[in-house]
Amino acid sequence: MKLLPSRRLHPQLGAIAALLMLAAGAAHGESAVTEQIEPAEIALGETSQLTIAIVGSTQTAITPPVIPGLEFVAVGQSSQMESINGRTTSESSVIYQVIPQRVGIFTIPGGSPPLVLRVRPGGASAPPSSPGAFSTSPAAGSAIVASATRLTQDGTAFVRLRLPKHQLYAGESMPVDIQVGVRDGLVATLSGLPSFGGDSFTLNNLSTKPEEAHEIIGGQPFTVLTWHSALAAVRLGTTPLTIDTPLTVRMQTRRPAAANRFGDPALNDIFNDPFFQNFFGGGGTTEKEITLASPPATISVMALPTQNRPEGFTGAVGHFKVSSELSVATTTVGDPLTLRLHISGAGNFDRVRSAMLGSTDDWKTYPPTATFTAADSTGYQGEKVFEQAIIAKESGTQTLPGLAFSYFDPDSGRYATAQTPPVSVAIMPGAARSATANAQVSNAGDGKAPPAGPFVSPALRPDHADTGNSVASLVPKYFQPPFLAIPSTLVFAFAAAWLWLRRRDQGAHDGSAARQRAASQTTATWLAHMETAAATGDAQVFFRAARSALRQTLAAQWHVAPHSIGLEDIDARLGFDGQDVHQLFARADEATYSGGNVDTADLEHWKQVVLRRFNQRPAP
Amino acid sequence: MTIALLTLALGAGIALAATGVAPQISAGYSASRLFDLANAYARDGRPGMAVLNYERARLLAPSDPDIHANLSLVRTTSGLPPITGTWFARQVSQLASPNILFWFGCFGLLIVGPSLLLARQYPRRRLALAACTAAGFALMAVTLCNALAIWPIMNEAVVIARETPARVAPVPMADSLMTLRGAEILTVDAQLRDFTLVHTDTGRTGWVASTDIARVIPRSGKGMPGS
Repeated sequence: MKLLPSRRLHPQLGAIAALLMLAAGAAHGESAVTEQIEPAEIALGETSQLTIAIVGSTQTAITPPVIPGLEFVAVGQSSQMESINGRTTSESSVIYQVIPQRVGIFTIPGGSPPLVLRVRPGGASAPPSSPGAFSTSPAAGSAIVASATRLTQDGTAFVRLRLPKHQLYAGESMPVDIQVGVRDGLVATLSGLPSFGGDSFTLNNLSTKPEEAHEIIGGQPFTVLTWHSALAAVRLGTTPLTIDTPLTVRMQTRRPAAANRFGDPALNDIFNDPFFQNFFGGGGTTEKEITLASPPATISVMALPTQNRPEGFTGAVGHFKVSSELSVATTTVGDPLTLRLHISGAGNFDRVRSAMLGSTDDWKTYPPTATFTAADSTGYQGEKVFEQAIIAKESGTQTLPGLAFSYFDPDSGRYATAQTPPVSVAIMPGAARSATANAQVSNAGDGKAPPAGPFVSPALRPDHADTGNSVASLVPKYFQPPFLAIPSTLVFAFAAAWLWLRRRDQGAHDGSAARQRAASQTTATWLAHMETAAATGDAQVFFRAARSALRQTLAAQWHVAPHSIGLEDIDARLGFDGQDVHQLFARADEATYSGGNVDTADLEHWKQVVLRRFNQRPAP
Repeated sequence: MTIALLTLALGAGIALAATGVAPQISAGYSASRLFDLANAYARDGRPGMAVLNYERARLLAPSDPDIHANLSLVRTTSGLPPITGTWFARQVSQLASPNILFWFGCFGLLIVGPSLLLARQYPRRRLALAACTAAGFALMAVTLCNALAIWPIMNEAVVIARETPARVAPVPMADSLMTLRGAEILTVDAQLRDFTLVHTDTGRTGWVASTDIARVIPRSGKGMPGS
């Protein structure tokens, strides 16, 4: 944020105007000074307003009086100059806010007679506000009082906090003004917005665009930026409050001003102005990063009393008034009405809530909606409107009960309940429709006049009976993560079952292959025995080995145990094709029990039978 | 046997989940209440709120002719074009409530899974089980299509103010691009502080105050409509 360089034009224009006046040879004429103070008696903590006006033939600077115990803060100024037939007349006035620092009677010189300001002890005559009433301006009920102005060491800037009071209740909002003043003739850049040094308070709705004004402090012109905000306390207790503002100041360095160069202080002021300094090439600029801090203000934060707390209290603290209205005075059974509750005033509107009308035997009610319209930039003042759609169930003259709103009044320190009066409404039975309702519904359309008939929207289908079937959310279940877990679980479960079955089958397949490998090894062993027996001519051993080798081979094919294979199985499974095997099994039995002699050629024949069968086995 | 037990257990789990949800939905959105509320707003001369609640009611009871009739009437009397959309979207979205279709989809999944498992175990009954699998996939496909048709509504909003300006930037002092009429349906693109970036059916984009529009499907999922 940059202070406009044009601010520097003011002293320059002033200097040029002074030169023109000098050139015109305007004589030093008489000037009339008038002063006015209002009110002349205030309490400590309040402010008064001093107006100083000068009318004369020359423009004369107005400076505030210096009175110990009083601080003067310029809040407005005006000047007017006119020239008639070569005679120049100027009129200037400055309005000061007078802030007393102590109790006493102060005399302000300059006027005739001198003005007197009486300052009595604070809070002596402040009447408490009545419940339900509020002041439209913070100044009406609790004037915003500026803290003392404390300039930086080089006198270039200050930060000032303006608070209406120094005591708060928990949850209460308080309007505050934060003022940052920078000496005219400087170009300053704000490095950030004002903020609190600690964490005991919060600033709500700090205005982004500060207001600009001009003040004379200590005879020097200052540009004052004012932010409006609402202060809320976070912690209970007494806490010092300080505002910090980071600021970059680019300062014009001047050549040392020669004292009494022209012998006239006014001319010295003109030629020592930065405009002339820059015009003649004098001076330079230096930038300075500073953090301004306001003088600490002590704020006490008190807890809300627990005694006599109304049942419907929602935390609203402030000054409020309530009113209610119905959208129509006459309606029909089944037709909707809009019940509105207006809560206006000043306070913490974020805690202003209302349940409106509960469900009754005579009325069908819907949850209310709320809209807030702020009356100031901070949202401290305004109006909150609750709207509720209600439908009459029975005909006749119905009375809607009054609506209650409870809040805490910080001025009286007590809870208050504001109540709206009951409202009567005529409910007509059946199909008859009120003209008011017709007019209302016609607004729902294209703005044309409603057609003749009982209702502007005869085609609007009637209400449905409440079936009681409801859902917690309008989001379809397939977009709700908790419900998405159901199909996800199903998918995972079936995938797991699929994998389990697949693995089981794979295991069974692997077992079968292992068994086949073992059977092949056993068969090979028996074949080796058979070869040895054939070579030695041992028929008994030969046929026993040959039968065992064949049993192993066939068992692997038929998926049965080798020892269970007998002649019946061979006949049943191999039929005619298994005659040679049948004969070999028979010869083996014969050789086992009779031990008959067999020649080598015969053994070779049976060996070939066995090998043929072995070679015909399917691959594992 | 194992597969049958697994299926039974999953079915029981879903039933338990459904009954567990039941107690918390006793007070919430219902099609009849939304319809009545929309009628109330229509009669009260607030077409934006009426259309908003008709749209919400239509979501819960898509085949209710009364909702369609009143929605069309309010839109027409507000000077808005009738409800449009592709044939596919209309047909699919009017089949049944999305919540009912969700259970249909779960049921389809419950058929498909065991059918595939049993087909592996009993190859001789492959034909009958393939028919079951196809039926399950069909149910799942209907649910999926419904979800695709409903998805755009998740980002739809209705102008509930009489009219509201759409601005070039999300600040109150920004220039106005166009004025949106009450009850107009928009698509929400983004949100920044108190403003929402929307675009209209015609593709025009702008920032509108968030208080002037309301989402058809509120994000919070709680509370009653209109709030």
